[in-house]
Amino acid sequence: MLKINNEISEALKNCDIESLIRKMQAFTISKLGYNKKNYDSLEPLDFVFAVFEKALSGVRNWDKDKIDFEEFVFGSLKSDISASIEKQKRRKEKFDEENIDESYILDIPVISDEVSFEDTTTQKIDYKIEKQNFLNKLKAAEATDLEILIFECWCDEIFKPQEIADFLEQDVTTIYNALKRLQKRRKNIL
Amino acid sequence: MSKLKNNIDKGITEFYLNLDVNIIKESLKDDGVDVLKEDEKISKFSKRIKFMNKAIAVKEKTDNLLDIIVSKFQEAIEKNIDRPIASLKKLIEDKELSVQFRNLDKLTEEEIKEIIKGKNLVDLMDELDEEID
Repeated sequence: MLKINNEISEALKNCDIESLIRKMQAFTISKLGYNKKNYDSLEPLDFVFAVFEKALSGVRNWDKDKIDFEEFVFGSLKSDISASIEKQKRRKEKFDEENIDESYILDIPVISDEVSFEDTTTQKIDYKIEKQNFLNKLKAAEATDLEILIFECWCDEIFKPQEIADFLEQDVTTIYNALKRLQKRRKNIL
Repeated sequence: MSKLKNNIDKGITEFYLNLDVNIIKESLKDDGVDVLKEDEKISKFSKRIKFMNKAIAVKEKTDNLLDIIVSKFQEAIEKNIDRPIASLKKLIEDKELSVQFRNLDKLTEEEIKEIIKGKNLVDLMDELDEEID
């Protein structure tokens, strides 16, 4: 049984749960792919349901003065995805230690900024240099002009899909497709 | 997290949070997902969450009302107010509760809840208000 607190209860009344779940699902797939083994044999959607329920159960505190409800649930999702990646990593290490060549988790992306440790080395690098380094890596990885422009938008703190689309004079679907490619490329270079 | 990584992370999160859900569905379809089947599953889940949300709200209201009624009975026992005490005694008799319930001074909060269990709490509250006033 969930223990939904009053603030969450109120937020749920005003929330389009179905759309939020779809957004969470798409985000999850962009991080963990479709392979069921990355979800402990669950469907990606069931993984999202579990995260959603956990977010509502009071396991995590929601500071509604700092973030809105959707950001809170998304934050929970990101945390669970990181935990899942960490779990898969540990499994892989265990298998490696046992000298098993075949690993079923080779396709797991490991994203350092999502696994809860502070990368002090990168903090010391000047932002401009870091940005240039990333741009060079993107170009070396044959990123398209659109992918690079999306990255430039983020650097200029343009984040909303429609704002990016308007700025780049493209439709949102085209931007979304490019963003998915950029996400895959980023996994290999960051 | 460095500012650059933070911006990339924020860019990706904001994108998904603000993306039109129809674009997401189309993209999922392109990836071979049975979106219609999943829509039903999501709808059921959403209904379940909303139902539980309502049930919890109702339970909270009931619990609050129950606490108020118990307090009123305790106050009546303490101040020896006749009519609510008589009502409580009648409830005990009607329910044929054990001897431990006969000594009103020693009734615990849980025992009073046991006595009024099953009664319409709103009606009981109204009666108590009249009796105490």
